[in-house]
Amino acid sequence: MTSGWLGVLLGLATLALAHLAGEVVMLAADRAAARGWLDRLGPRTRAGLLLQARLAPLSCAALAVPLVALAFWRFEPSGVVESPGPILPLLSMAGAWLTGSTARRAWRTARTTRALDRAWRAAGERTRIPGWSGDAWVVGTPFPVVAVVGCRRPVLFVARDVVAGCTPAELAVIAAHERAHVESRDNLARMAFAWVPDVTGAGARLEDCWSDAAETLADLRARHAGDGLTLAQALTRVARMAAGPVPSWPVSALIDAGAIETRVRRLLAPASAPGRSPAGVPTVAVAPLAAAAALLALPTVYEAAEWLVRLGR
Amino acid sequence: MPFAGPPVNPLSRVFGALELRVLEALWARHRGATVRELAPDVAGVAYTTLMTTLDRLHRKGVLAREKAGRRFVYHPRLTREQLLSSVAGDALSALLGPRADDLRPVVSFFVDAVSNDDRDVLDALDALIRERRQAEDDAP
Repeated sequence: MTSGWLGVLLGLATLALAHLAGEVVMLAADRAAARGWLDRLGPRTRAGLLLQARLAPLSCAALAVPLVALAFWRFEPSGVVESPGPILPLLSMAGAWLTGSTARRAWRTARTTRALDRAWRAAGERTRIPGWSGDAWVVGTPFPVVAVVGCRRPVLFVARDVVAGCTPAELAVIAAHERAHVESRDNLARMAFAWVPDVTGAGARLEDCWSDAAETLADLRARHAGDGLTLAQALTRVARMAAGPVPSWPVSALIDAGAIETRVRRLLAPASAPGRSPAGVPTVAVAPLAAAAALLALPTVYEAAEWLVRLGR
Repeated sequence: MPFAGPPVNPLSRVFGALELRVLEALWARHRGATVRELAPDVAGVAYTTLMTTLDRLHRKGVLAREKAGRRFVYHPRLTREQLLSSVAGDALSALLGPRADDLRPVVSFFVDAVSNDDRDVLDALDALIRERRQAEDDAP
């Protein structure tokens, strides 16, 4: 096998191994969440950790694949023909499947999101919601939709019943809640979740935990920007409209009023600041160090890659 | 996920042009109509064509009809908005298929669905909010 093909197989195999490592991280985080170890953390920290854990396969692949590719390019003698052992093709097949699955999930997510956007735009009309500066549409859905669709230019869709049934102050605080989601780039996180395959099922549970933390954070930010009582009132009012048959199109999760109760009680509790964004300085400082360490580790990475190529031969 | 392009009437994906004209005419009347009564509102359409179209819409479940003497009176089962939202929802469900839970659109909802059994909880929460609001108003 030529070194070019060997490089391709090695890249795909690295992707599979990196995904495996990411799955281990997801399982560990899932266990920690199930035991309630994350409950003591603030919503911002919890959401951040859960996000990183869910995207661990992606992060591991983003680190490992370029590193192995660089090591292979740097140290592999050109023109050498080598026969790999049986493990490398098997791992590379798994890597190819993961790549295909990611591409398929990305395409389907984009398609369903665009379809939802189109369907609601076609069934609605442009409107203005107090406190929302972006694109907003009122839609005549039976379910009391209040939803932000999309990542790059998020659009707010609000059901006609919600616009008619809520006071302007309630609509403004609802908009503040949705704005908090946009500022946190929560839909970008949702899109990334949708892209990364979830082999063990731990990812779905982590997403639910993350969603809970993200909602809490958006509620707290909206309360910080406005009035907690009004947001609590808006929540129960919209929840009351939501009671009834489950809509035919997908909602993010089917929950009982228990979640609404938790959110309302949290809003009625004494106010606390939602927390500030973590400083970016440590990341900026750590990045060059990590890059230097990676460059120093290149010979070891190459040896590991060679071992993988020969494995089982 | 932003999308560009003019909005499309989702009803046109489900109904033909003549069916849509008939539906619009019925919605505009705000009451039921026989074929003869509706004919002037759908100008240029033969009586028999109109009768066939109304019958087809009835078989699609969009129109209800009741006998009045020797004629049928047709009326829409849903308002225009209800039909639009139904079509919008169905279009998405069809697109998502059986694996709707697996891949969701990129969307965040303010409130998810709750069951009818949860009304008591909502009543209790509303009472709590009123109480808290009252306490705030009473505070100096």
